[in-house]
Amino acid sequence: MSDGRHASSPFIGDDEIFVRMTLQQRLQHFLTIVTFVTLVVTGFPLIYPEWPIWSWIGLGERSFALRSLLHRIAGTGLIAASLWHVVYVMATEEGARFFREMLPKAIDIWQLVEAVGYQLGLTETLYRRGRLRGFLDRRPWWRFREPPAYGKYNWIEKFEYLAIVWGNIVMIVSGLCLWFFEAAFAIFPKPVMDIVKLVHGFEATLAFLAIVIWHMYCVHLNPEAFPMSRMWLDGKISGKLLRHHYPGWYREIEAERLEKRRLETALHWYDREKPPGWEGPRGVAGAGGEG
Amino acid sequence: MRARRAWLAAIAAAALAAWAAPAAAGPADEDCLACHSGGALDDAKLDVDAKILGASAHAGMSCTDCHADLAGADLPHGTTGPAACGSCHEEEARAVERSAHRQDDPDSPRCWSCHGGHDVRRVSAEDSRTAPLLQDRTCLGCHANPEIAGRHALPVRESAEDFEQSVHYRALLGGNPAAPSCTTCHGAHDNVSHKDPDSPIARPNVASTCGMCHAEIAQEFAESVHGKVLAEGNPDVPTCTGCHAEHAIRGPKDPRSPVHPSHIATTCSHCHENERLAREYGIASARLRTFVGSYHGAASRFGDSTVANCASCHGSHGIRPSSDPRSSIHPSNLARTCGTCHPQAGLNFATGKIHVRDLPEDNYWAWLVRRTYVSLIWAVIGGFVALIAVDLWWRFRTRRSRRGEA
Repeated sequence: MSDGRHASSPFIGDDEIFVRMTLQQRLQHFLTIVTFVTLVVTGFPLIYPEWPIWSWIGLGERSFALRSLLHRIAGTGLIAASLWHVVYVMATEEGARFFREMLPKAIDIWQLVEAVGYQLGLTETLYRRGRLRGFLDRRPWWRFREPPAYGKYNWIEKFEYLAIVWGNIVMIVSGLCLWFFEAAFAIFPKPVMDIVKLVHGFEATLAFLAIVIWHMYCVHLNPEAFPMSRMWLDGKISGKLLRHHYPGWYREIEAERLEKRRLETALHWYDREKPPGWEGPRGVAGAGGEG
Repeated sequence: MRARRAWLAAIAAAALAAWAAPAAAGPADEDCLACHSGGALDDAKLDVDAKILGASAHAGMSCTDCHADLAGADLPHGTTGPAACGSCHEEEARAVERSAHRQDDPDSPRCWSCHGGHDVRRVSAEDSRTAPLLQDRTCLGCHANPEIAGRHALPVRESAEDFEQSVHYRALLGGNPAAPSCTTCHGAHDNVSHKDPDSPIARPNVASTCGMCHAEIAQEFAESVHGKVLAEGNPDVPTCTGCHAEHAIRGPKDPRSPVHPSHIATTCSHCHENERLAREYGIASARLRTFVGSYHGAASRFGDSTVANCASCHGSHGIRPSSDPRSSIHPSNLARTCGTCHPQAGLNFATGKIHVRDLPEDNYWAWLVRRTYVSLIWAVIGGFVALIAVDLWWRFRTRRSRRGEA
């Protein structure tokens, strides 16, 4: 995507390994996968009972009660995963940082436009053919000559995160209403319960299609990652791929390290030269004692 | 009754024969058997086994009692006419002449076709061809014969196996003497086509025929919406056989029964999803579709027989329209009806429609939500597919141009 565009940094080795999905995040993700798949398999028979696949997997009179039980167990698992994530975001620094970085910003929308504009290459082609020269010379960013410089999380991931947060809320609330429908009926009249049931089914369909088509393509099935990215298993990414896919984040890490090196160099110099007024390193870890 | 009469007839005939023997000039049984036994005649069919005759209901009767036209005939005799059963069984013979089996056709069954000839048994005998357990095979000797059925357009739709798997035949096997066999419903000597308005199986009479045994149900049915419309002479309304089948009637717990919980929706739909009937009688549409779309419908489709089906809420024999205050689906009774399975069901169960079609007049907001979601799904997934297409196209293009550069 950005080969040769971003020079590699002297501070980041191409083969250096970075953790992009921490163990916590991978476990949450794994629990979500297991519960999601179970929920789809045990829930879809009620929305699409006419699919022949259900008889292939042996869903019949006896397994129907099991389907119902498994759906509730998996539903409880998804609620657990969601609560775990809420606690993770609210109570841990890692989680809070993750949430902050996942929040969509205006730049994400622009980067979506940039990504499509770059891949289509329409304006650049027009420019090369001598069209829209004045306009594009004044506003060169519309030429989309470069792919977007994504930060740690790009618009794809942020959209998916928002979608799963929203989807989980909808599915959990409507699912609980259907699970404890007699109690829900005490609060809501039948027309509302009809809508609750509709929403549960349609949101499930939307989520299923989004995962199968979009998430699978973006993460695993695109020609670059095919047949599978190992990210969800080990959470690791190499410095080279980082530079390639998340140049914004790459530059951030580089800047952090540069800043740290500057500080170290400065402290080193002060330590050696001991200019007037210098009282030695104060609480700067790893800075002193090298002279 | 008939058996006793046969006995009396036999005794009377024997006495008469003994008294008249010296006077009559006709052949004695021994004379008949001299030719008609032991293969003395070319045709084995003409052989009569004296033992079989002796074990029959007509034991003790003389040959010429039945083959009356040979009384006083010179031997050897020529071609004879049929046995004169009617000379003793007058009432039965008269009934047959009025029935679908009247003797004006070579295919029509003769007395001996059903009762046996020389081996005729009393109807009450277990090995009689007209014994309840064996009757179906006797009737189907002709009714399942493709040639005869074809010549007379007999409505043979079900085979002996169908009846033999039915709840009625099983009851017979189980020794229930009241269980019906063919003649219980169709009549015996007087049986007529179902097209005959007097037939016990003519549509208007089916319920009362079944009601001979199922009296309470017949009464309940007569008061139901189906029963009332049937009584008005409507040909489109179902009677007992419309839902339970005719010969292959199975109990509601038999998974093959059309009234098994998992099949009820399909059975009712034969009429209630029929466009012509819906148009003609203003039957509410999409009952099946809305049921199938419900949890009850989906669970039922997978064979869960505990879940509600049409009959669970609407009743079965005593179905009444929702406008009838005695109907189980009258708004004032809905909470109780739903409460059969959902004890916590409150009044909210009765708010709004149960069979919600995808129409704004059934539930406007549900209709709107459905439309919104469908549009949303198309838009979102369409967007994804477009983005994937652009990505693939870009990868394809750049790979080619890179290859070109190299």
